[in-house]
This record gives sequence, C-alpha cells and structure tokens, in this order.
Amino acid sequence: MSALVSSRTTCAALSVGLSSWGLAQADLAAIAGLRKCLPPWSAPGAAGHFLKHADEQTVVAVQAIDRAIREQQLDVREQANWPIVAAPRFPGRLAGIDALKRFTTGGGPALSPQLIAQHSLHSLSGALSVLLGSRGPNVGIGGGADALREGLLTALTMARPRSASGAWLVLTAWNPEPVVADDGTVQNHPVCQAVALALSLSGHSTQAGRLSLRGDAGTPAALYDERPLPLAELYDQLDWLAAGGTSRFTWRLDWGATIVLEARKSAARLAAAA
Amino acid sequence: MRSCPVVITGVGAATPLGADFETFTRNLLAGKSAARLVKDESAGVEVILPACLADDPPVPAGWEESAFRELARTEQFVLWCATSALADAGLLAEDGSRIGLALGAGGEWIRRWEGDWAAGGREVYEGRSDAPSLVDIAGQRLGLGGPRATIAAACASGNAAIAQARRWIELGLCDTCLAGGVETITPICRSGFNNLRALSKRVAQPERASRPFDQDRDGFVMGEGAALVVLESAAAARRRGAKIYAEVAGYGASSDAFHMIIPSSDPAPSSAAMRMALADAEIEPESIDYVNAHATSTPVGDKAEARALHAVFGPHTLSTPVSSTKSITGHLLSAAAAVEALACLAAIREQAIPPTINLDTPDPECELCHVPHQAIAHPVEYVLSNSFGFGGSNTTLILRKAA
Repeated sequence: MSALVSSRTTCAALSVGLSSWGLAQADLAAIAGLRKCLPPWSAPGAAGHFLKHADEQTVVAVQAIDRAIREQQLDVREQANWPIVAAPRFPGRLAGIDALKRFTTGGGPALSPQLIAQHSLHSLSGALSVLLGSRGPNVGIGGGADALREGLLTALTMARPRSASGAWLVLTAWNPEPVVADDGTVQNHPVCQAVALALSLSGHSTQAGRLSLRGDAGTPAALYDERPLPLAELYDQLDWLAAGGTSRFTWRLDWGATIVLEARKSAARLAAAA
Repeated sequence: MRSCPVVITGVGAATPLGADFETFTRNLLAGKSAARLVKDESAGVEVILPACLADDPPVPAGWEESAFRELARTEQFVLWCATSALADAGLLAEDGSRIGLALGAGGEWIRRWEGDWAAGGREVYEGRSDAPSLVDIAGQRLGLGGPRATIAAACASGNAAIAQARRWIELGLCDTCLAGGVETITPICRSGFNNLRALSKRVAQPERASRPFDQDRDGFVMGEGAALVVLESAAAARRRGAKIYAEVAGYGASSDAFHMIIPSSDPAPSSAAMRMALADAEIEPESIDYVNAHATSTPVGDKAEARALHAVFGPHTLSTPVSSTKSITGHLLSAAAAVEALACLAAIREQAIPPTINLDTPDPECELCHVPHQAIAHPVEYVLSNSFGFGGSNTTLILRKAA
C-alpha cells in the first residue's frame, strides 16, 4: 500500500450549533469528594453512590455537564434521546495500576468487580446516559492520544435518532498524566479536566458557538504536521475566554479535513459569573 | 431507498473458529464449539474457566514472521484481519488514501498496559501521553489515508463501528472503510469478568457451557479474536466488479439508561434499536429471515432480549428463526458484533441458519423460533443482528443479500 497521504476529502461541510458548554477540573483529593455529589438533574433511578467506583474521568465529566446545563439552563427532560459521545484519553490507568497490584498479590479473585464496567472506554458515556436518563445511543471514542480529534469527528458524523434535538460530546484527560510509583502513590500533581459540549442538532441554537468539519482541498500538506491542540490547552483557552467573547479552535485531520470549534461566552454565562 | 447504499466487499477474520471466512463458516454451520478450559494462576491462586481462544493469526503478506510475532497480539489480530479483508476485496494493492478504519475496541489500553507489565515494562506507571493507538498503528502500516477512530459500546462496539464506517462513506469522507472489532482476553480480563459473576462455571464440559436461551444457562463463555469487513458504496463496488457479500441495509441504536452492567427488563429501549434499524432498512419485521441474537447465555440478558423480540416481531416472533452463535464462538466482547456480522454473511451466502448449540431445554421465558443444535437450510435475504453492551448500549444491524 502507498504511504500515508492526505486524502483531500471531498465531503460537504458539516456543522452543528452549540447550545452550551461547560468546563470542570479536579485533582485526586477533590475527585474523592465529588464522588458523593450527584447533580440535581440525575435520573431518579440513579443511586446516591452511583459515582463511588466510577473512573476519575467520569466523575469530572459529570461536573462539566452540570456546568453546561446550569450555564444555559438546559432542560434535561428534552434530552431523553440525545446521543452521548465521550472521548476520554487513557481511561482506567489508575484502576489498571490497582488491578495489576491486586492480581500480583492476591490473584484473580482479588480484582475489583468494578474494573471492567467502570474503567473501559465505553464506561464514561454509559455512566452519563444512566445519570441523564438519555436513551439515545452512547459511545466511547478514542481512548488514546488522539481521543479529542476522534471524539470531535464522531460527534459530527455519527448517525443519530432523527428526533434528537441535540447531543452531548464530552472530552476528558489528565493534565499532566499521573506518574505513579511502584507502591501506587502518585508522584506528580495531575488534574483531571473535562470539556462538555451540548450540540444543537436542530440547527437553531448557536448561542454558545458552532462545531464544524470541512474538506481541505488545497491546504498545504505541511499543516498536517502541526501538533494538534490538546485538551489541556483547549480547557485553558475556554476558561480564560473573556465575557462576551468568542474563541476559535482548529484541528487538522491528516486525511484531508479540518474541524473548527467556535465557542462563545454568552450573556447568560456573564450573569452566572457575576 | 438510501441514496448511497453501502455494501460489504471484503472480510477478514481471526476467530476461535478459524482465521478465514471459509473455515469460520464451515465450523459455524457445523456447530463446532470452540470452548476449552483456560487456567490462569497468580499469587498461588488458580482460576479455571471455559473460554474460546483464537489461534495466533497467520502472518500477513509483506511481513517477516519474527517481526510480526513481536507485535502485541491485539495488533496481530487487527493487521491480519485488515490485510486479509482488503485482499479479499481486491484492494490490497490499491492506493489507501481514501480508505478509513472504524475499530471497535473497548479495553485497548488496559490490555496493552497489562501486556507491557507482564513483559517487565512500566508503561502504565509512567504516564506517556503519546503512545500510538491501534487505529494509528494499523493506519500507518497499511497506508490508510481516510478517517480513523476507535469506537466502544462494549459488546456492541462492532455494530457501532460498522455503522460509523457506513456514515463516513455516505458523507463522502472516504470511499472505502474497514470496520469491525477486536478483543484479546488476558488473565486480568478473565478474572475481571469472573468477579462480576457473569461467566459460566461449567468447567466439567466447557464445550457445553455457552447455552443461550437454555433453562440451565449460568453465564457466558469469553472469546477472543477479531473481524473486519470492507465497506464501500454499492455504486463503486459494481463499477469495479467487486464481489459483494451483502448490503448494510439498516442500523439502529439506543441506550437503556438503566444500569452500568445489568440490562433493563423494560424491552422498550432494545426494541427501539430494532425498530430504528427496520425503519432505516425500510422493511417490516416480517421481512427478516433470521435474527442473530445477542443472547450471551446469562439468565437475565437472554430473557430480556426474548421479551424485546416479542415486542418487535409480535405475531411473527414464533416464525422468525433466531439463534445465538455465541453458543459456538463464545462471547468475543468488543469483537462480538463484528464476528456475528460474519455469521450473518455466512447465513446469507450459504442460505442456511447457524444453530444455537447446547439448547437442550429452552427456557419457557425465552419462547422463540429457535434453531437448536443443527443448522438448517433456509432462504435468507434479510438478517437482523442484535448486540447489546455494558453501559446499556443496544445496537441492531440489518444486512441484506446483494441483489
């Protein structure tokens, strides 16, 4: 097969509005406290301890969704069939380290029964669907270094229920990745970050911005070597966004397309921040 | 009618039933169980379980055996399946710049870290943020220049990947797309599921352990392997005279929004996925000639699916043949839906329905048109394949025999 080249996709431009977005971050100590906090919009069937064994990225993702809901006063009852796309980067690392230690010292029976259900690539999206009570499809995307771009691409292109007015895209990662000693103690000071985007599929709501994909016919090939904007920088730039301001982020996809996120800090956010 | 029908033109397999479609089909229709006992030992503790393991895949063209075997097993599965699927489609020598890859894989990183640790590495402790993923590795090695993504919906991952690939082709992001799923079951994976009390304990007769819909089922039998199919537009396939296995006629997906592990007893969400797929295929339930059930041999899950099938098929339920090929292959987790898509292709090509083996005493709460023990000859035009996963994912894929 030929070497990897850009395909210069011929796809038509795709675009969805953003009805809201939210940010959250927490270190390990804060995450421990957040496990006890279910947001008020949680589905009635979700037990109070629902997040007790959840992956850290799930816990922080819930907070980001909560911020997005509160900022624009979104009605969760209108999200009953919203698809949920969650794109964590390296989910389950800390649980994986714990599992290796337990397996070594206690064998198979010592493993937590929560390992697979809570720390797999699908676990974050599954947890959000239960908490939100959303019966739209849920998928975990990426899981590796390029999770952010894969998540953006999937959210823009996945098949959706025709009646769904919106969808959630949640991007999560540690910043920096935890560095762990052999005894299991974390040696650095990682913070888990989450960015939640409420996509408007009906096309009418762009109050919080827009997410789009376009083909790149004619784009210089050198641009595909650019380091893609990581979640940590996206998070910081959104966090610093001036009241009433708009920021634009681009990610080039090496097969010949570009994803553009325009995020707007709206008047409602101004009021919330005041 | 869809404006851009998408068809399957190539198949690659690395399964407990064989590493090519012919062998897989032969063993599937023969109802030959792949289950055997697997023993794991750590800290002096043994765990013995039935499981369906796949042999190491053949070495793909262009590889030195020693170099190929140094790759992680998961990589070997993906590269073998991708290479053989593209070869099967007559595309291996072609320019890969418009070929994408949608790969169902839910535990890629935990498997990778476990494998690295078992070999003396410390990758999981070190926090590297630049390690390439399977889709990137496969894309680089095969020169794939189209969109790529890893897609996880637990046991429904393969269906979600096939649907995503179809969507990319419909949107013009690529002309061709590999799609499917991969799973390798490691000692930690086996014990992890065992501790969930989800696995069969029938160690005396491992080949009889996977018994979906049977009254005496006690859990599933894990399997491993991979399957990838080549998708392209029907128009493109016909233009180049490609062999067409089937059309991807319909897809539907929903979530239970109920529990992270236990499927909802309410048939509404899983029924919704089936109805969406039927609507997408523009057919009524009675057009379905065969249902490849998700049924994993768990007491709760099989019953829930039977209830949902009744809700969708109504008066046609007891005349629409249903089987669970997990009775033969085991449950391949992230690869299950993709391997079951192969089972559906086998049914279409052979005009025969694979059996549910070990179905000695059907559960009265799973009253369906079962195909117990032996395959049957049967006209097959439309096949409906269910795959439901942890996290409450429900997916339904409908494949149609090419005209």
